[in-house]
Amino acid sequence: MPDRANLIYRYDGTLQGLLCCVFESCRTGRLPLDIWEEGELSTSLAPELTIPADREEAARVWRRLRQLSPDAAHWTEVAFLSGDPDKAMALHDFLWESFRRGQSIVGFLGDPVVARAFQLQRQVHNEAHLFLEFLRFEEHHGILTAQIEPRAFVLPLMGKHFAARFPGEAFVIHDITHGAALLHQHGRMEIQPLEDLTLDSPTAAEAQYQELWRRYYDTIAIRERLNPKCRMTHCAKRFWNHMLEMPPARGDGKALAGGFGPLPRGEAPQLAGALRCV
Amino acid sequence: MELLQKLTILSDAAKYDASCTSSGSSRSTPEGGIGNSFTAGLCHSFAADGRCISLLKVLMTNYCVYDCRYCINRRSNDTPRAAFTPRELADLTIQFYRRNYIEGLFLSSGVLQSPDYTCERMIKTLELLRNEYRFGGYIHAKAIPGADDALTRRLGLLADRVSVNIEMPSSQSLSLLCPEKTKASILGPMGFLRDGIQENATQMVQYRHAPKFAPAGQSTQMIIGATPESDLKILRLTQGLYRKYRLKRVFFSAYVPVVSDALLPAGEVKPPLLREHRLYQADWLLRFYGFDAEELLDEEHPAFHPYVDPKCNWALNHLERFPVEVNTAPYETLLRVPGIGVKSAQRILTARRHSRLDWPQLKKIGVVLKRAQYFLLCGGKAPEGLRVTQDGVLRALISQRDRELLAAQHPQGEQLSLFGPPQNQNQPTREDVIQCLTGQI
Repeated sequence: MPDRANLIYRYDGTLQGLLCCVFESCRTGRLPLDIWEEGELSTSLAPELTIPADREEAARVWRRLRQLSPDAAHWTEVAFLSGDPDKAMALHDFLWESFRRGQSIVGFLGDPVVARAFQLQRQVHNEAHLFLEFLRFEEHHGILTAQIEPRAFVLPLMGKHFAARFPGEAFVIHDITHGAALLHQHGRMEIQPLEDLTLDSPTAAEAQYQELWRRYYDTIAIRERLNPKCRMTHCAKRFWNHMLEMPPARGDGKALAGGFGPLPRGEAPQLAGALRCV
Repeated sequence: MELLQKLTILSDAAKYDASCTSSGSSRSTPEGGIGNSFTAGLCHSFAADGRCISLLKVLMTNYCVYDCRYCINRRSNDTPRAAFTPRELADLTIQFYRRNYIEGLFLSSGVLQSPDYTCERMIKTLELLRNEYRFGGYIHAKAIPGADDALTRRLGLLADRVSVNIEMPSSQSLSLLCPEKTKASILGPMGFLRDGIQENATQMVQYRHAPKFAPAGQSTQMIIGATPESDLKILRLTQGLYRKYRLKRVFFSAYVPVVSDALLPAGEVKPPLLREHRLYQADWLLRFYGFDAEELLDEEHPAFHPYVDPKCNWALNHLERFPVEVNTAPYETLLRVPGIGVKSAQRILTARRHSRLDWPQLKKIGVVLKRAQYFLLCGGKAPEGLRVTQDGVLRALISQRDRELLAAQHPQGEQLSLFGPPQNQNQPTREDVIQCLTGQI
């Protein structure tokens, strides 16, 4: 790669904008020091250049990338959903390297630039997968509703799974972090901006299923094998807020005892629920 | 009885079944129905003991005519009893599934009246799910030993996976602790299922719409630590089950004393969790890494090493095969290197097709160099300053925590000798290795 010019690009925060940054650096043959989003605070003395998003230029870059390697294009799409502040620069370098070599570079897993892009897209995929598992629906007026707080913008990667699984259901998945929601009804699906979603308290039937699920969760653990650390490794605490069966996340470490298996036989039905919040 | 209470009793009674997987089957959502299943499976939650919750794991009923000594549901145990009706259970499964709590149903049962009657009630539940609710999610059903073959067959046609628990690692232990069960009564249904699955595989090729018979195969489970079998014996049995009965999984369940009995280990024994862990590690080596049971353990070493995992242990005992060149070694050899797993081995294959690999690249790819460095060469080179002997590597590979454990168990120090040969001077310790790598030496 050539040396970096003393220049910082500003782009509009869209994939199209980023592709235009790549177009610009390929055109001038000089790499920027960094790429920032518009509105992001300036933390450097280097001069800045605002790159306007241009549909035509972006399409050219994208077409060329698809031609070189559909895999690389897929990585770019997915990695761009990441919440990593560094993603624009990492992907810019990845595309640049692709074009410089003039061939598919997704196989060069040991190369630092490729490894970084690989890591970004893998993180996004992994997070999306975890939310497929840990998301909980709640029924309101016949509509299944879920709320999530992901780091990456994972909604585009989640719709297909739930649409295939629940073709007859209407559902809403609200992404609190990014202020967006995935809506599905009658086989149609779309993602729309949605800042705030206030839900009524659950109906009696809904509350009963939640109670049943909590009870099942508490009962299924084997108390002789209690292992809070192992649980946290598999299901990090950042997911717990929206998982109704998990003990409320608290900093004092007491939460670890919650969601614990049943008491000696006989007492179990009355007390296991109360134990949750100890 | 209230549903909540039933669920508590019947999930409490089912929790000692170790199997939790929802993998191995791929189903699309039936027309007008709900639910599908994935080959890889999904874990929807993790219980306080760190085990995954993928399926709604319950018993149809915990009434039982048998009196197995280790079992919490045995006839002579004084415990609250309950039974689901098929409708109740099917409804609960669907409602949990809709809310994304679970991936499907794991249905087992105590034997009520007779094996046939029990099996019929299970079939009724599954038929409701599959036919009335048009449920496409995962179903794992326990075959009931002693039930009619025709019933087991119907069960297999409705479920994704069917399993028969082998319970104990040897027939002596089995006849001692489960007087009503015999080796034949367990292996019989297992063989029947194997034949059914194989026959079905042929039919699937011949007829596109042939009904699937247990498409995710069968699994089994045994209890570890209640009886005196060695790790070697258990591992051989496991290998036999994979090869002879074509099982998809063998689960190990560390013995937890739930009922007291003169024939069982007394009172407050801790479940042998480390042993269970080592067995699972070895189980993976059998299924994905091309190892044989005899390579991992033998008559002289019938138990697993407590401080290093079975793969490391094997590599340390076969230092003559190492180091291997990462740029040319075949896949099978790479898999045998500690610190390289299936994924990183595949990534190495992809990456080395494009460029020669060196040490920093290997780290980027995701190889655990802390382990692998002793067994690899990159472009003919070992990491600088590394000398490899069996003893030194063993010491360096044991984690700090295990070493403290070791020291606590064997507090007596080593006898110093004025005139003995200087034994350890040439062997790197863990600290030496760290210093080498950080460039201090």
